[in-house]
Amino acid sequence: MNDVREQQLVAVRAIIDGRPVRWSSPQPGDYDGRDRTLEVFNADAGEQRDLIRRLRAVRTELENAAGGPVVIVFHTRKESARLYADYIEQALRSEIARDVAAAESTPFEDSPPLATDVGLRPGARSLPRRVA
Amino acid sequence: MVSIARTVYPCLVRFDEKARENLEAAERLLSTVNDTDLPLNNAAASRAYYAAYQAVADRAQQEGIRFDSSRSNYYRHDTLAALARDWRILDDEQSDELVLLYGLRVKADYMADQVDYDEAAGATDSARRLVDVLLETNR
Repeated sequence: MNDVREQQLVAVRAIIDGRPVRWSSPQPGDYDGRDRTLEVFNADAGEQRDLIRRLRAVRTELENAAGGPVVIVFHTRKESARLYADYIEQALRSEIARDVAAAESTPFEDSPPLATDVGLRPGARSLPRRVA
Repeated sequence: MVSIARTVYPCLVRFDEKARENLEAAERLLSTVNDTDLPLNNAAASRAYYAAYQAVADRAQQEGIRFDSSRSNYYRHDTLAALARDWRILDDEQSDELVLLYGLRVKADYMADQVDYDEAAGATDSARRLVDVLLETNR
């Protein structure tokens, strides 16, 4: 798996509400575009058309990463749980680990103030009071 | 925009007839005449895709667009939705429909998943829309 393909998965995941997604591993049989197949999990019939529409935003980048038009296969929630539970669990664990790592790396100084009407003086020991 | 040679390419295959037959097949595979019949979702999804594919192929042939597969005489399945958009045979929405149909067909024919009824019925509706629009303009 090259980095460009992997980076595109991150962008795709963000667009499709964090659903697990991967480039397909080799399957028995052969079909056009087998090496450019993107699998999206936990996507039921009623959601698939909207997801395809959303993916238009990154279609060119996906095609560049894959080397041509991408074949998109959606796995329903039922079949995702029945057939791909191990992968989904691993993908969600990785996603959580990424979130935690990103959260820990956020500098405290960059966080927005909790309130704009309370002033704190350096070294003050009393509780902050609302500004009159 | 993809540059293509628009020369007349004689083809004996009646893609329009095959498109309509595959659409009817998809509808029959989903129908349940009595309580013992179950819809055949995988087969219906596959036929629905081929109905749409052949309707696009028919339009492409009408416009003299050559087949693009080097292996044999057909339009490659993985690129047709994008090319048909470039050829202005399909708009963005219709191209997305064909992408969705092809992915479902791949799942139905090559993966362990069972296509569910809602997916197959949606695919058949989608194929019907494409067949109606594309073949209507040829009449």
